[in-house]
Amino acid sequence: VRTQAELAESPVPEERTTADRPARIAPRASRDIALVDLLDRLLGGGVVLTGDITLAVADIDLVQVALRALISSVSGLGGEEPRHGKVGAT
Amino acid sequence: VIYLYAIVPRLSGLPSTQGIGGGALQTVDTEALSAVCSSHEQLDLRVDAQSAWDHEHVVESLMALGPVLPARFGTTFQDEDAVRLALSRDVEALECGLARVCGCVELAVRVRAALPSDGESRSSTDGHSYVREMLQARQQRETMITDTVAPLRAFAVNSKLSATASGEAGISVSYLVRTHDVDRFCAEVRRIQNENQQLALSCTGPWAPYSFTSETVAS
Repeated sequence: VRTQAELAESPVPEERTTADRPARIAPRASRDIALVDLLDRLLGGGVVLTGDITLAVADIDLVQVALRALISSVSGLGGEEPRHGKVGAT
Repeated sequence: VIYLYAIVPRLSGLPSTQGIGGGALQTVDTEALSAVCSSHEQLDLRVDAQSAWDHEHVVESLMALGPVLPARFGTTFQDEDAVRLALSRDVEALECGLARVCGCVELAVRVRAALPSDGESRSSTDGHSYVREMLQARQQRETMITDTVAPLRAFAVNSKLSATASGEAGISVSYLVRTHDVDRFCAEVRRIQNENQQLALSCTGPWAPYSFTSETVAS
């Protein structure tokens, strides 16, 4: 759990529309959370058509376990340039 | 190998975004739907950040054009005929899904509560009652968290509660929100955070409606 000081430094929620997606400076912790949220959706959501799922189920389980560990250990805010702008942590 | 990114209403043109591994986008069309794909001689697909964002960038570029049903990561087909067959088999469900998410995006909210400190007093005198007490305390915290974020539901079309991670008290909820309600939703997240400093909230998005591609009951 992030400390109050970290929370105070965190950005306000992202308020972009789907048509307007500017990149923005995002703390590393927020970008990590965005990646975890993305992977949760990519691996556990989405349309499942009857195709050949390339990825082994066991691998996906392992990834999810690792990600859940990551989300609980996210701490510290870095000032690096984000590679992706999908961030809106409070 | 054909890699599938998303299903959309039939497209007349594709965005210029590149797919996984720099693959060029193509569509496999039926009368009303387009499957947005990339074709690869060989695809060594891994679950890593680069591939995940590559998939997501294609999906996001399609979101700018209209409703999108994103495909699960790693969905591949032998050839275009196999894609066409899969589309035709589920055409009604896919069209209903597109209608359901039209005009909406997904927002991801995580809420975590501070775990009790080591010094917190406990009445347990043996291991069994200690574990029971810990479980009860965790359930109480999660109920409190769920109640605290309940007002967000008023700004969403639908919501879905994910399983909580073991070892920590917290919840993860996906919300399907109309695009024009995203600002109000975010303002409500801010209000809840400001009024509940003992909780840590995160809100990311807007995402494609990954959690609402099939009929889902609101949680």
